[in-house]
Amino acid sequence: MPSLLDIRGLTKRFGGVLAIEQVTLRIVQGETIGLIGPNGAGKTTLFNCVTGVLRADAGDIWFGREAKTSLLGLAPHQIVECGIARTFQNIRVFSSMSVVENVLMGTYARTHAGLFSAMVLSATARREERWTRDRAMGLLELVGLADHAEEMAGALPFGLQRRLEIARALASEPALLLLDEPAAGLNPVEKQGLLRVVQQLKSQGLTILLIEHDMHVVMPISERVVVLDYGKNIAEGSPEAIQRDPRVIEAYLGTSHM
Amino acid sequence: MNVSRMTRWGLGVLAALALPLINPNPYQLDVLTTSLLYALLALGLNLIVGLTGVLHLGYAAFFAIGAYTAGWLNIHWHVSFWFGLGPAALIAGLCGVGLGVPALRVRGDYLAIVTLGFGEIVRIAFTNLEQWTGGPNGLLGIEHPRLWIPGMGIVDFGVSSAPYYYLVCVITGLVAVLCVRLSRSRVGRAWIAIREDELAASCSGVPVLHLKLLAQGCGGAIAGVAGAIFAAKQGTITPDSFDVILSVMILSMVVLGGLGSIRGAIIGALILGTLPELLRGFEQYRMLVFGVAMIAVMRLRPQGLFGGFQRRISP
Repeated sequence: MPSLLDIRGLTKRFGGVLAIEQVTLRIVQGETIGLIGPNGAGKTTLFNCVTGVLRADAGDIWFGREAKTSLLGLAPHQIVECGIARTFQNIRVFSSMSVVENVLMGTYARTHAGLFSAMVLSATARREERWTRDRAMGLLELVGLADHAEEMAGALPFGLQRRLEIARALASEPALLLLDEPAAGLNPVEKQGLLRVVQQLKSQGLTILLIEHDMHVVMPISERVVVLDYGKNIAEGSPEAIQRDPRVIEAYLGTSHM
Repeated sequence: MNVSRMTRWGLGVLAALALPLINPNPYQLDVLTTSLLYALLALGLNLIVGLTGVLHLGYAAFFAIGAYTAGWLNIHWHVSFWFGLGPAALIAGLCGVGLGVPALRVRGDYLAIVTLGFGEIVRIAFTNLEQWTGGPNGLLGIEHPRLWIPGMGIVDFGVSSAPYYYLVCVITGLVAVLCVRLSRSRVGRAWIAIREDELAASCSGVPVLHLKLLAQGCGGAIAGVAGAIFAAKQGTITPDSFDVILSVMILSMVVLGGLGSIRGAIIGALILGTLPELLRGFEQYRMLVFGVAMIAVMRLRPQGLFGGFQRRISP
């Protein structure tokens, strides 16, 4: 199977602290992978390196069909153009913009209207605007936010803001979706709703890499689980195998569970 | 556009057109013209500070660059006012981009200092580059605009008030329409996204630096146009017309109106432009009343008169 994302020996230091060290991760097209690990294990740092927010100190990140494009040194917006989109652990919606405008922002990398066409309201710009609005509404439908399209994003309840971030990420037509703790802070009902959304994306064939603490979220949707601890790979395997792995239980669930 | 909005717009345009006929007082018309010129500047600064959220304390420099460009071209190459508008906008816009390249690498308080410094450097440079700018005496003898009007022949704007009033009305109105279109476009949305959350914007595919430069360029170009009008209206420009107080005044207009609001920028400029004149009855307490009014507005309505969101200027 050709891989879509291939991370090899990735290392990131913050001063003297090794946030991630020699991390390796391979994702095959269409897979859903859960990335777990205790707090401070380096999961979000890994996301930040992949999305160009942070510059890795060593290692390689390859992406695309047969993982042939190097992502090292690319700016975040260029990585979005390559086909990777993400959400954030601490929600980052554009709070004074409307819900649908937030999703429209996600289409930026796939649209072209420039300064001049906006000023003269050119036919192509208007057509593009209509097309992207339709697409944005479709995505809001998918995540169950269609009724809130014209509301201020900042006024949405927490759980819906998380879904909005997913819709915004999807608007960039990603080949790989990175979800950073999408269920954090959600109540059980909201969690179920979110799970349904992710399941639906999965069934459409989207490749997903998911950081999550909640085992009830990770286990049913992940084909494979990768475990990080102190910035290193410590285990990898099917959800069932990972739940039984003594190294994981010790690192992640604590020794009292043994 | 629905009927009631069209009627309102129609009435507004009609009122603006009829004003000099109803009240031909040249002093009052002149105050209004100057306020509308401020409104033009506020519209430009609003793109940078209001939409994109990049604090800029040296905006008067672009105004100066536009004025000197148009003035110089007129005096030395006899370029008329109308043909001077383009170069003034272009050069001021390029200066905006040129300043942005180094300035946008610093953030927050540092950016404020850099832009403040830029404003002062431009003013001092214009004072000292005597062979080109006439030094502290400025550029003298810039021609007033002339326009061929059907039925009236070639009209020299001269020193009368009404032609400039109409000119500034038309240009400010046009720029306001362009700003509204921009702010609702893909580019304008990206500017707002940068103001809201730069990291989320870049992770949504927005090339942040490129768009900030674009905002600086557009804002600079608008100030350049305002400068060309100012030069042609005054006939003489001196460096001290473009001091830091002017930059701060324009920023105050944008903040008072509400950051990011186009309507707010215009109304903020009209209020701050005319208030000092309206308060002349208070004689020496005039600026005190003015200051207290500003503080009161900011205390009671921190988001500005028309702002939909709380102030959060960050570079």
